Amino acid sequence: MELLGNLALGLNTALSPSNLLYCFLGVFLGTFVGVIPGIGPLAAISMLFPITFYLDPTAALIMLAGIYYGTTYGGSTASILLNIPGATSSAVTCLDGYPMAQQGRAGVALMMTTVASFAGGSFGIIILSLFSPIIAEYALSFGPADYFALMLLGLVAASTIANASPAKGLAMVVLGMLVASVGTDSQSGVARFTFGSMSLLDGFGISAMAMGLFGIGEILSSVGNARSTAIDKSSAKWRNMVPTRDDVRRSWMPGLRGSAIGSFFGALPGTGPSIAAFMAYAVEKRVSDTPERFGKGAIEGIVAPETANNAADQTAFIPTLTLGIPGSATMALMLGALMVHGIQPGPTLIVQQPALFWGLVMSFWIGNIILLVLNLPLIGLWVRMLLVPYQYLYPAILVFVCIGAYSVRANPADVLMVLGFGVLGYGLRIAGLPAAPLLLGFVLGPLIETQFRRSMVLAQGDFTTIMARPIAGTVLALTALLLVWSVVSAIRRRRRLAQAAQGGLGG
Amino acid sequence: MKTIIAAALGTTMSMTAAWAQADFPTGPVTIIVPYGTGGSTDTTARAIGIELEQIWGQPVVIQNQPGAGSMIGTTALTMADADGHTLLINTAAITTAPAIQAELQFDPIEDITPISLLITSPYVLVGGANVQSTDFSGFLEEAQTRMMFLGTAGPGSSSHFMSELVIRAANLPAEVVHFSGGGEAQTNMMGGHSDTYISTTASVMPYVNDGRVKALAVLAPERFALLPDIQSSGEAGIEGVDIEGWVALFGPGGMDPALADQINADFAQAMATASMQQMLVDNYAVAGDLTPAEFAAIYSRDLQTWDELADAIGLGN
Amino acid sequence: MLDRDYRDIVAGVALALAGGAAALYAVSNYALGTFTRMGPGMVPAWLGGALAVFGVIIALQGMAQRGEPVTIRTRVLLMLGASIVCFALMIDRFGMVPAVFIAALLASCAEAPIRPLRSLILAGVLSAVTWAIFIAGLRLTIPSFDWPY
Repeated sequence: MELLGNLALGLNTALSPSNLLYCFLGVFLGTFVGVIPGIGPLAAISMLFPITFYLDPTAALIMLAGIYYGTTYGGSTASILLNIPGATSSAVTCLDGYPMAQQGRAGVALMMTTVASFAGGSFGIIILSLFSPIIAEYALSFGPADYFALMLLGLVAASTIANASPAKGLAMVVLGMLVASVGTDSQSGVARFTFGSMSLLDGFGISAMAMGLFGIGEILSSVGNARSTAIDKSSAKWRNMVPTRDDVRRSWMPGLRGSAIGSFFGALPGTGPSIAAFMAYAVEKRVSDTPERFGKGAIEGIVAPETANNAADQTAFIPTLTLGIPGSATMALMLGALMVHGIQPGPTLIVQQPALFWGLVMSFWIGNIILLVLNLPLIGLWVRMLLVPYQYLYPAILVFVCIGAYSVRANPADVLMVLGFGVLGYGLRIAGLPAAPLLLGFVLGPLIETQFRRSMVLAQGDFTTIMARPIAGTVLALTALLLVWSVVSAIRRRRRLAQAAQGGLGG
Repeated sequence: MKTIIAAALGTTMSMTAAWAQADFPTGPVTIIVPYGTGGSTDTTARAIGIELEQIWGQPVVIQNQPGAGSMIGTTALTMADADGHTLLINTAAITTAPAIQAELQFDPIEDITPISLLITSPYVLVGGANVQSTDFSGFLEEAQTRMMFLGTAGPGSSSHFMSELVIRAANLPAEVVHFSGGGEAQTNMMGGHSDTYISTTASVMPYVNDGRVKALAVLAPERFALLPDIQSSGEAGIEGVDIEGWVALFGPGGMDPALADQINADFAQAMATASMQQMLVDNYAVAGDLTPAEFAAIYSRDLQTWDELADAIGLGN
Repeated sequence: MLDRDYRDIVAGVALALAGGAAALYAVSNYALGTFTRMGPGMVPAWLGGALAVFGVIIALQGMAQRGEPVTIRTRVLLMLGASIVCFALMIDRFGMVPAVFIAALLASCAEAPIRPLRSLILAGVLSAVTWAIFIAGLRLTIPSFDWPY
């Protein structure tokens, strides 16, 4: 009953005309910024942060949060239509979203991601309102060894996300981890592979990496190319945007699993929507009876990551609001918006500022509903964007990516890094090497290295201490099992293919 | 002249400012914040900026240039004109980072003019779930009985240097363990994965007040007036760890001393406003009241302390 | 059709060289440390070694299979590269509007046929649109125009 009272209080706060307006402004801006490649949530929120000095804290937070989860809605749009992630957490959506667009199913893909985003977001909000304090306590029990084990499991599970030979996939994962080691070493303070450049001391930014590898890489390989004009005008018709019964049937379970995975990784400080999206995709590909459909426009391949990253967006507020500890740079901004007004988030926030906490939670609902209503009619408009001749489109994308890269730190070197990754991405395409595992290695690599070295210090060099931890030990055992199972199933599949080939046409 | 202004600062601050406003500022003033938007240094700078716009009648632009442990923004400052229209607000990181970064493109003494100590507060040693003792004396005994892990916000951060100072001063058989930022260091301490963390009052007191961590010591010779219940390191017989945390204002190197004095006075006026005073109270911090020359002495002393410590523990490049 | 997959061979050799170089550089410049407190060189050394091994495997696999020839469009690469480099060099000195204008102009010349008037109009429109979004709308603290001299 207490919960109902709280929800009513929250609804009351969130529905006040001014808060409703800020919520709308936030999500509108978020979707808009999300669609533009190059500008991620961090850049957008940084730009608008100064406004919070002049707003009351609830309104400020409602608006900034709206931008945050709104970006994730919009982020998938560019992934699907242009093969360029609008936000880093939408990079995985490219894998199956873009093939769908090429098959003339862009409208379906956009509709499914919008619905999936709403479902994932709603799932995350339910977790946030029911279990915040419990989850926050549980998250504290995750030590360096546990993070290490979990990230290693993630790496093993997701190393097969690309359709390439195991050697190529693994080489890219390792390359990604190596690229991520550039910059100041987190455990010794030594500058690695910086060659005297101060701009490299913080390493490469994930958005520079994703924008270059996917965005500029895509432009470099599309410009001057004979383009497939598969996108005919009929795909912009409403009839062609409605998912088939088969699409819907296939999406239920990936949506649920994606929501759960997203909620988990969102709530852990130190992981976030990008890792959640990768993991959700990897799990779907693993559990699927037809993993070979992935990467060729499988609906599960867009539903799972899009539910996951939106669920993670919502549960990321759990450590931020209940522990006062931000899990990411974006969450640090949310925290900053509260601190400006002298509000210190922490376990007492829910008790001392119930209107703020529950108002925010209820605004998430309202924001998600607005996003759903806002995005569905826009789908037709976005699909029509594909009818814009590419020679007008690509200079625009390029300019937006440049401004986006620059705006994060006001450092021109970041723009050059995007170019570097763009050339790398182009090179990988020519060489037939998959880019997604590289991004995966880049995201997980530093976590694995740092947490492993940290846990070895804490264990005084005794690896058995790590194995003896309940979480780390269990997860490491699972990782070993998964490795064995992968090898066994790979051998079986090869044998089955060989048999099929013999029984069929004989080669 | 400098000493006269310094003496007059406390009482005739507004007069000094009036004398000053004849020739400065002549246009918008850019304050570089070498950290991201929304962090504590950024929000402090923005709050002061709002006050300064009132005082100066000129726009104050906060420019975030994060990166390389505040050194990217600091380098940008050293390249600006020393006419007072480009300033920098930084933390003690401006003294710790040069100790470990070999690739610094400026001279921390020649290319920077320390102008004003804006906010100062002592470092506080806090203990997490696994620490049994409730004060510093108890902690020193406990740390002799078992291996303690002193969490830091990263190698070369002030929490790291302070932890090393404590280990040396108290001769503890402890180890430092580096986390990525203060937030991670504190969650790991709350979860019992590491034992302690050292930072300024503003970053640790909220969790102390929540009861999630215990304040073991104020690292100072005597107790801190705003936190009289916390034992000081001096009381427990530990010396050589009494360095203060601060947020301060800097200009490019070779700034005219009269101009520095004037900007110092303008910022003091901004710090004296009701809203800034409230912010100080909320953060258990006090406003600094030093002349540029006095602050420059502290600045170069800290630079040297950290440089020597970094050499001693073999840190950096 | 080529008798060997030169694409994989070249890619594999390049990866192997990159991995080997990274491992060598790490070993010779950074401390490896101990098992308890690993130094900054340990992980990059292992990663570099692993990359070298995978690179060799990719190259060997390429020897055993047939491949297709690849084409690299240098003109696109050069024009788009020049466009981004110009943006990076101009943004701090001349402000956002000129940087966007030149970057867009160069980018639009990457694809034949070049139509100067169309490119100029496009660059102008993009300058206006980005100014409206980022400076007027999002209040980014980048000057619209600047002149350093």
